[in-house]
Amino acid sequence: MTVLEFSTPRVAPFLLGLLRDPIIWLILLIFAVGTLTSEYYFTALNIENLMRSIAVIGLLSLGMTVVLLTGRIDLSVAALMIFSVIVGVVVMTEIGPMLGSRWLVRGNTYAGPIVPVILIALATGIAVGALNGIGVAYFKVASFIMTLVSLTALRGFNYVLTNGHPYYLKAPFYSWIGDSKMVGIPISFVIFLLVLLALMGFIHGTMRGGRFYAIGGNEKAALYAGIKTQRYVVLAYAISGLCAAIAGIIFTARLKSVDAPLAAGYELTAIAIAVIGGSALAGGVGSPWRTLLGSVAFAAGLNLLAIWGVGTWYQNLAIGVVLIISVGLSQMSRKKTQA
Amino acid sequence: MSAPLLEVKSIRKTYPGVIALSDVTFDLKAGEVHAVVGENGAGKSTLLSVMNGLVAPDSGEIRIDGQPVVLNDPTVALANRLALVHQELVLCPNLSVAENIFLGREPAGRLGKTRAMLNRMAKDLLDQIHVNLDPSRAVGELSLNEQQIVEICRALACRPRVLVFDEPTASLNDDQVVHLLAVIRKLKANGLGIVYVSHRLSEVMQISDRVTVLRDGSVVATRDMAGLNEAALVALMVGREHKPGQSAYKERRCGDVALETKAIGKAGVFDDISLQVRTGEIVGIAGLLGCQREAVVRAIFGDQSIDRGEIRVQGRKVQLRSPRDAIAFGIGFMPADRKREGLILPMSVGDNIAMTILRRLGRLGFMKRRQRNATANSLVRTLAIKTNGLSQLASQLSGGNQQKIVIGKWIARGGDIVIAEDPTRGVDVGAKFEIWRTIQDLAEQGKAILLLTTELQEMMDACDRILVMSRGRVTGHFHRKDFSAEAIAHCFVA
Repeated sequence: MTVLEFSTPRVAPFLLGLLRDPIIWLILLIFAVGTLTSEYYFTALNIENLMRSIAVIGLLSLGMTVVLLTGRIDLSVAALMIFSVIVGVVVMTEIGPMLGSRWLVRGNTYAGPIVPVILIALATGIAVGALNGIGVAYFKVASFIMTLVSLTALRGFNYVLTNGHPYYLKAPFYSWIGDSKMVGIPISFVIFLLVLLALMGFIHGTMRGGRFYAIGGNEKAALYAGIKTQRYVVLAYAISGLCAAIAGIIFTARLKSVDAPLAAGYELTAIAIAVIGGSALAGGVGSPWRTLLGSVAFAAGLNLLAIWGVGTWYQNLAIGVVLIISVGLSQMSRKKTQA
Repeated sequence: MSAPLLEVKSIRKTYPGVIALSDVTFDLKAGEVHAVVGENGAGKSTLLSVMNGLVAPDSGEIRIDGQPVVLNDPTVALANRLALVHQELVLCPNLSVAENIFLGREPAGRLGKTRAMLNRMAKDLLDQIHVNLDPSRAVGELSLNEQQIVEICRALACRPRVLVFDEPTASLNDDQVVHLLAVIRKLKANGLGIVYVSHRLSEVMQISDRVTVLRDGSVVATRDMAGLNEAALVALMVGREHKPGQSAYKERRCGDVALETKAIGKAGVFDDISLQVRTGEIVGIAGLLGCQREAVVRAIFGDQSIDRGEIRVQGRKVQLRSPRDAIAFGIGFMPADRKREGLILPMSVGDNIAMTILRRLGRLGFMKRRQRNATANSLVRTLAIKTNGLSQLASQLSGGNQQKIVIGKWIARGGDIVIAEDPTRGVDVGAKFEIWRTIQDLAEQGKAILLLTTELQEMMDACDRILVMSRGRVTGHFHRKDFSAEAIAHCFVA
């Protein structure tokens, strides 16, 4: 008896909080409906697929969450995730001949070392993200405009750099990232979880991470408190860029190719997930953990639609509807708390 | 002789077309309260911004302990232990009281901020100024007054040597002002130098050792407070003699009941509020922080719903579902937070005034510009709004003139009932008087006026009757002949 009484106060608030969270019930509902309506839904193979898709869109949404926390938006993430990988490949194919080896074989297949490609891709993600941030923070360009411009420009670059043809990526390590599993969990999902943990540690554990909330809550107050708000805005975009690059690597590792038009519209998916997870578009509200829940709910829902045989067109329609409903609900609940 | 704690020497700052400060010299000793007074536009805000590192002066220097410093950033000012209590509330609504207080200077805990420690430290600070506020509450849920308290604690949290108060009492009630002044005296006894900027001259007289008067960007005088009276101070500020404490109250004859509430209530907020305002009558609702009088007037303006009771306008029972309904019944509302609720700052003076009468100004959906300008111009004239034209932006006007626009908006509409919430908050002495006179004129013209102010004296000067509220209920009712601060204050806590 005593043991029970001792342990409940510690665990109970967390569990109770979790149970009171409508998104948990949404996830359970989707899984229940999926299991009841399709014998394929709750199979190891489908869950694995689900985890892979969560990994990619989840990473984009994590970066988006950080940017949304500051009260800004990043529309460039989907274009950037492809761009960073393309830059990695293109730079390496340029370097190859200088070292006397040909890494581009049989037309468009990249067969050179893959680790430098990954490193260049990550650096590109951070750099482009930081550029977005500098434009927004220092040159005071509205974030919507700045990143919309980036989105368009990066998509253009993608075509220029690939000449409109896909690159095929042949490397054992890349295939390992894309295809392997660790105790039944895809590597890509493991990477996603690691990023999630790192981000949670940063945002909730450190003082610096807490700054994002202050900036999103009232930027002037943060500035007056002596916080260098501009740096944190750049940092938020750099984090978003890094997350996008990691997402790009995971995404292309699964496909073993990279092509300019890939991942079109993923930026909206990322925003939708962050908002479903409770992030406020006005800033100051949201957390990586809630974004994880959002991405699970979202991916599980889409997966269910796919299993039911609903076409991509309708899936996109569903994304739009879900986004507008969740934004509407979050606005309404905010009004309620204010009144 | 030791150097003063803070010295500001021959500061000059110009903006395009305006000399904000010319050759301003100011010094502050440790353990002294030095007040800075002046009408709006006299250069007080610019001087404070210069001291706080928000604005770089064109010439002149600032010395701390005799050492010249360049304050090019608020951070640098803080590093020199020079803190500012802002007039506006610059807080993060999504963070807790404690987080806001220590924002930017959280104690470096191992791996992160420990919430409990922050809350305890915030509690200590709040206890210092005798305010009972839960440090873990979100600032967004707090009332304006409570947020002001947080703002003050923020400045105290960095253990400043020089503390600059910019209108710290603008939204505090008399009780809290007394507390604040007590805190300031304590801080002063600890050897802090305090710069105190306020429009409330009575406070300035009580608290300051010296006073510097600014007018049109220059120092008019720096005097010891001893031997200076309010009239002399006002004379220095405005450059002419001016009788203070005057509300221009006139005897009027009141007519029929224009506005009446019968036992209105809203669960958990207020209950059983019955009041009557007759035409030509000014009725005040007095009360301390949390008495919910703000909620009552917002319910009368249709912004909040009521659960019980009824509201009657000109004897007719009305259902007010939105401010639009209330306006249709002739109710106008001047909110205390005029920058956010009263005006649309980035819009022009003319557009702001015309906002309540757009339908009348329209023809086939197009605005009859000439008629709008005529209406707006006549109001600018009658209210003596200082603006260089109808197209000037509302944000560029001083507080007093902004308030006059808010009043003008409702005069233009021509409703019979006006709710005025703290109409002179942050308004300088000259404009204050004009605003009170305008409100008296409105009553004279037969409008029914419901008035809320934070300063009880102002309310007693202006009103025919005063209702007192405490914790969501009416606890007292006074006619003008029975007004007494003690009796009313007694009802505050009833």
